[in-house]
Amino acid sequence: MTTVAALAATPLRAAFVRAAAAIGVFAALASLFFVSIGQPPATMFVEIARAAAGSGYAVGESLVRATPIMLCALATLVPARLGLVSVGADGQLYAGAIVGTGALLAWPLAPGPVLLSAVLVGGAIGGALWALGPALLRAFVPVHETISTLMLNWVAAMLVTWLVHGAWRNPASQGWPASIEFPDTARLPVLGDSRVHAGLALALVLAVVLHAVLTRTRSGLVLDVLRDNPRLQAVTGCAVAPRIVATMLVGGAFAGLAGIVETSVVQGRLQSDLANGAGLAGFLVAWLAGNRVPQTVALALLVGAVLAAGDGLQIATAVPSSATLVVQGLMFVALLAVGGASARWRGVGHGRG
Amino acid sequence: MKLPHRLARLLAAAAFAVAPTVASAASTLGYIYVGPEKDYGYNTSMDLGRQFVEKTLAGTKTLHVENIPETAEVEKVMERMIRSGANIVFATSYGYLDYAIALGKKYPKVAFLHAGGLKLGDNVGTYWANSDDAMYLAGMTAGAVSKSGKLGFIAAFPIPQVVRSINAFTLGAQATNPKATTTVIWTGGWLQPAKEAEATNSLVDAGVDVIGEQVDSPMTIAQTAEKRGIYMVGKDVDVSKLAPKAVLTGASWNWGPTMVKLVREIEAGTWKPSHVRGDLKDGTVVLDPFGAVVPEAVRKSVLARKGDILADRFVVWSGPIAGQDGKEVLPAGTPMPMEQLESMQFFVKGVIGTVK
Repeated sequence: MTTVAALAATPLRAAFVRAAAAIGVFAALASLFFVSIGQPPATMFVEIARAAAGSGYAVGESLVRATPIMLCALATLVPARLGLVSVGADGQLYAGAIVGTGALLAWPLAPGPVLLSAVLVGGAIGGALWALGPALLRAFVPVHETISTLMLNWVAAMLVTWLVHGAWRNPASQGWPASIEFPDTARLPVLGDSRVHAGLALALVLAVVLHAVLTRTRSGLVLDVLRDNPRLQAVTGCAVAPRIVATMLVGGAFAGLAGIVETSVVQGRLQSDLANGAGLAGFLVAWLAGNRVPQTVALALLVGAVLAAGDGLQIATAVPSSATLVVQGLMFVALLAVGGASARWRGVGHGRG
Repeated sequence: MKLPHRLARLLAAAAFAVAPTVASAASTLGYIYVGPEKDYGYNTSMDLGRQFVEKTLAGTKTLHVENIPETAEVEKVMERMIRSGANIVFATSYGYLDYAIALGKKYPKVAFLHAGGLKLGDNVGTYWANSDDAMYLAGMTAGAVSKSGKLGFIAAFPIPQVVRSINAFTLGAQATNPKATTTVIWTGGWLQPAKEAEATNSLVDAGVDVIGEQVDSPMTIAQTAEKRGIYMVGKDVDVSKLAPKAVLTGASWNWGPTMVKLVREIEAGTWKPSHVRGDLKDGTVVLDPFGAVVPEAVRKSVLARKGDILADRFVVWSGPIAGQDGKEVLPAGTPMPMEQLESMQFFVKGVIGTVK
């Protein structure tokens, strides 16, 4: 009992135990699957590892894939500190991509630093705006934020499709649904000739700041207090409603930033399907990481690496893409199962515990 | 605070580990497909080409990856293929073009071959084939078999190669039934089985009795048409075995010989990036066998027109051609140049729908 209590008492070690358990469950499930499709599990795991981190290039691609997942995980984490379950990172990501692209289309010839700032800030504002509706509905009506954010994901994705098929379609693209290309002045710098971009550094800096705010400042710690006992707002005078709005907006801004960074520097243009599952992956990452910033960052890197390895696995072993999707799906099953089991075992739920 | 330090080191490692690529004598070809390689349609046609190259050119190795979206994801996949040894990349989907050109600058020794684009790079060429002749002949068949004169066309994106197919199909139909119209439905994606089935059903409900298509796989539309008791014209791969009553004919691809030719040129060092274009005449495009329902007289007239095309006695893209609003877009006796064909963004008279 003392060991269990000690483990539960140190969030970092508990997270390591959870991560190890998740990796173990994933390895077991994936092995079963590999055997069932006639592939030797050991070889397959080696190939996944090589495709994820076997060279500088592989590491770079893993980092590129991890960046929007990390930002979307942080987007889920901030409201979750107050006990809110937002699943709207995908929609906020698209909204950020829209507003950031709008900034480019509005001032395409603005000087570099101004344009880049406008595009990035536009992305953050877009994401925050997309979270505003669910935040107000939750704070004052109350409509459950999980449902409203989920529904708005579809709306934002469709809005992007509508824009790139219509008003924002590049006239030179001959009918292909995508916006004009982002000029170099509106793109974050990349590292060497890799595709790793300054968006990763931005995400890491923001993560450090966020961690400090959440764990070292009064406004951060109040969230923990209110989450654990909402009735304390009467006693302490800390109103919940403004904090619902604030955490949702900050979360939305993180996801919006993911959207505009992905659009400008990785895709190079606004187009449909740019989220590539980052919102959902980010949600699961934050969940398994117990909504703690350092663990979330580490886990986002791991998940990004496995997702980035999909094509490498296909190239190296000639398994069909559906097999790599199954493996990635099993990873999420393992994350969810371990996250859920540990929450139950500790007797507290994630989010709205 | 420890974590960012470790990451910084990883980032530095990523920056310095980019090695130059070296082309070898026996090529390794990397093929990237936007959908499943076994979609029984466009991607299957490209994969049949890959298999033909592997069989024909001994020692050639091929890599292939399926279901890669037309986003920056393909840039990553192409780069991984190059790092896995590929010195020739077949980027087989339209939306891969800009990413192939961008990556071409980074890997000047690798040859990129893009299917159907109209842009070149120093080491990026394109290959495609004019399937308009076959679509025109299929349209003739459709117009002759249709009782209502109402034809439908289900298509993915309003890009030139698709717009051309719709127009050629309609012009062909009007050659056998001057009153024929073609109602266009866009699905917004290369593989959208649910939308394709829905579109087929709504066209049938509106009185359409023959449907043409240009999405990645003709399967859904063929099988839905079979179920509803109407006809369809296929594309990319002959699916008549899977919908024997519905399929009238179709325009199929035969990419193998073009791909072999390009690979040989690249290996010999004689290749210059250009727009390589095949057609019905050189066999890159095939008019599929007729379905049982097509009457003998119709077969004869369609095959006679095919003979005219092969003998240069008839040119599909030759004026007079009227646009949707009836105004002339191509004067009588004028052939349409390739660049104009491949940037087509208008519908001919008789097409119902918008290029949007």
